Amino acid sequence: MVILMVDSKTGERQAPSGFSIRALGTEKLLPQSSGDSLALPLQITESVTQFEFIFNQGSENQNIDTLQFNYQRVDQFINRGCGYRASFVLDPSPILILNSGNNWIKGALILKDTISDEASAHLGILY
Amino acid sequence: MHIWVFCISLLSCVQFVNGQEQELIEIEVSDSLDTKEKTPLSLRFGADLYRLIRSQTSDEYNSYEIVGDLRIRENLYIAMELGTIDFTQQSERVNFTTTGSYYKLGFDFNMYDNWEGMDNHVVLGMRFASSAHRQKLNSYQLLDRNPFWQDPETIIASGFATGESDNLSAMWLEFVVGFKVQLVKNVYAGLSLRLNRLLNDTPPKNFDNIYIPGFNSKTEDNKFGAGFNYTLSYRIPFRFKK
Repeated sequence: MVILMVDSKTGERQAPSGFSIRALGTEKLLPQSSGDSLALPLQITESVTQFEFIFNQGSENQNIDTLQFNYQRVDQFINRGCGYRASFVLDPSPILILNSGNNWIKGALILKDTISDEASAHLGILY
Repeated sequence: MHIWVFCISLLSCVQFVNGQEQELIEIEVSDSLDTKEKTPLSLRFGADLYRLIRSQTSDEYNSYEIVGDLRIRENLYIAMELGTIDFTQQSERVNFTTTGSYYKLGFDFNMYDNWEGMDNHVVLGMRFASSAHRQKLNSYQLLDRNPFWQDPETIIASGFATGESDNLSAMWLEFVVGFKVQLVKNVYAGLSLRLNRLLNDTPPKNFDNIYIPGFNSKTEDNKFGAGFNYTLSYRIPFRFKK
């Protein structure tokens, strides 16, 4: 899934400073991208995937919001050698912020609800 | 001089008479062939041993095929095969069960010149074939080029695309080469190889007829398949004589 980070005050598509994403339950940080969009890997055996969105990482005012992405999975047959290909359909309320209080993530906007490739962004995250 | 002319014309007369005699003999010979061609109607039934043996030795494979042919000319047979199958297989990243039946109907032409008293066959033939079947997808694996969360070999064994599709069918043509050997009187062992050309098929939703009863494996974007049988058959000994 490809997300866009959007500044809700200025409307700019830009990742905030000191921003990183960690897959919940692992210590893996997702690779940073220089552009405005980020690719998030979804769990194919679950219908939710959780990530920690970290703002100002490493500094005093570090703020971590835990986001849950909700979706349905659809498997499409390719051939016997490749098996099936998973694509996803985002739920009408695609994200849930799991921690309470002082959230720096403001909301999300579905750009394209069917995730079958990574050619364009599917979800805008407002902060 | 006159004598010579007489002699030559006499010779040519003899020649002419000889020629007529030969023609008469030829007519008689072809006549006797005609009556022979009408006699050899005979019926033969058998079963495929390969499917029988494989069904006994494997839990995943259950298939039976009966074969039969009817001799209508000296070297020409109407031939058919009837079969059923219930076959579960793991084919690369999908595991599925094919259940169904098929028939094949066509003709065999015997190319072999038998000596008196022998009845062996080198067969060229063709069949029209059709299957009615269903496919059940038991489990499969997902393509995951950049695995992050899970093992890319994770097997999906319930829900999603798994399940059964029924009312499926296929039609194809078979080109047959084979031979039959008479083991003892009226008992024949036969082997045939088949090249199959798919005409059309109804594939299951979100899956494919990668195995078709009677046609065997169907590969992607390829209309051709192959098959064989190894038969033991018995000729019902009756003949109509004119």
